[in-house]
Amino acid sequence: MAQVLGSDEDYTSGCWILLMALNRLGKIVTKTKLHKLIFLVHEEAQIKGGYEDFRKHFYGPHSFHLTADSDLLAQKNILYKESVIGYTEREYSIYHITEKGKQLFEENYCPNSDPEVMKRAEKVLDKYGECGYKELTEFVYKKYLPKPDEYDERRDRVLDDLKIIESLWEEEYSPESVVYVNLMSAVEYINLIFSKIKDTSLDPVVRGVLLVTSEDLIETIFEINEKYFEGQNPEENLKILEDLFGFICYYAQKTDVLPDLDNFDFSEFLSEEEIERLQHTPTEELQLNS
Amino acid sequence: MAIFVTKCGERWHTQTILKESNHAIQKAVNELVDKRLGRRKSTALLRRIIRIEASRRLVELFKSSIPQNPGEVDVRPIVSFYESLRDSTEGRLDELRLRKHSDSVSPEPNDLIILAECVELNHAQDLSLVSGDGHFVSFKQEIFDKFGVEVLDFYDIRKFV
Repeated sequence: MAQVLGSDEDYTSGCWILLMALNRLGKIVTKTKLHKLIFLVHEEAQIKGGYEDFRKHFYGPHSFHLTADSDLLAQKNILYKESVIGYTEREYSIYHITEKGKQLFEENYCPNSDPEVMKRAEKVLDKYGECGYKELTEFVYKKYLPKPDEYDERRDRVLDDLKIIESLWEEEYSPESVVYVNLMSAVEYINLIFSKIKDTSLDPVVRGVLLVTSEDLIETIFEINEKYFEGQNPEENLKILEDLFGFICYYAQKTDVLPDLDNFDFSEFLSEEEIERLQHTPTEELQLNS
Repeated sequence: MAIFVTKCGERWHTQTILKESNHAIQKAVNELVDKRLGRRKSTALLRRIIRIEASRRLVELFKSSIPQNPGEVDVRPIVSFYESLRDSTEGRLDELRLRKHSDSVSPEPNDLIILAECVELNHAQDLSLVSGDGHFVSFKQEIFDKFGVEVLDFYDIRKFV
């Protein structure tokens, strides 16, 4: 397969799985879904080789080789990565297979493939292909819940990490900084979640999923920190952060831990007088000139 | 913030305008919260929520505007234009730089692209660029003389609405 695509060294051995998924489904919406789906194909169809670098507790799960392959195939017009700004402002990617990609897959991969492996992989794709990214993320996270005796220690580590992140970013605020707001709002949200789930009677699965996703979100923030403070662009990591934050908000709302962001009650953080001041802002004060 | 307006009153936008608008919203929200609450601690989630709501309203606003795709535009003539303004406008660019607390006299990269896109689309149909950005509204005459694009100040228009 690699020879057909060009250089032997450019692509990883899992490239065909990515092409097969796109060929089967036509398109995959969001990078998160792409990674979860390909991960499940590996796990449930018991594929040997492929993307062996999936890290289960990092962006839960995520493969850097898969990201690299999707970028390379997009450069060669074998797949098309569409960038979309969503209704709630989040920018996400839609992966499509191109005509060139379809032809390449059907002419060069299908005739040489193991039909049994193909059949197993297709079955997994059919099973999960229609799931939304949040649904799929929830499903995958539930596979990796912490053991009951690990929960307290891991939660304390999360809370300590949040304090570290807060102190690291304290001086980084500027009115222009979207990164600051995205990171610190995620930190505030996770702190809130843990203040709400102190109650140990809460379903351990819910607590476990929220803990594991929070750990992943913190890992992502540390990745962003590293790039940001070294002067590199953390754009890709920020997209992952937004996906994870979107999932955590969805899950916290679904499980009644916190209301959705549209119905958030700020009386815990703001005084009545502060709320009043915010609500009575004359539009003349909004300076939209950048 | 910017938008293109045709002579017959249609509003046009590009992907760059959408992205820049979202960016401008965060700044506006942050300035508002800073001014109104006078504190930063425990307000990031609030800032995000206000931004999301503002973005939703912006999306609604852009629904009545026609998306345009001018393709990849060359920003070099725009960069050269602003470089030439340094000498000819007696420090107005430097004043603007100080007002915006910026290190550079040049507009932000997205603003350069927006003007280049407007110039490109203006070849096919006469357009006006409506904006409140100092890099455009402070140099209306110069932009018109160089590129034939009319700049309308958003804050002037608002007085008549």
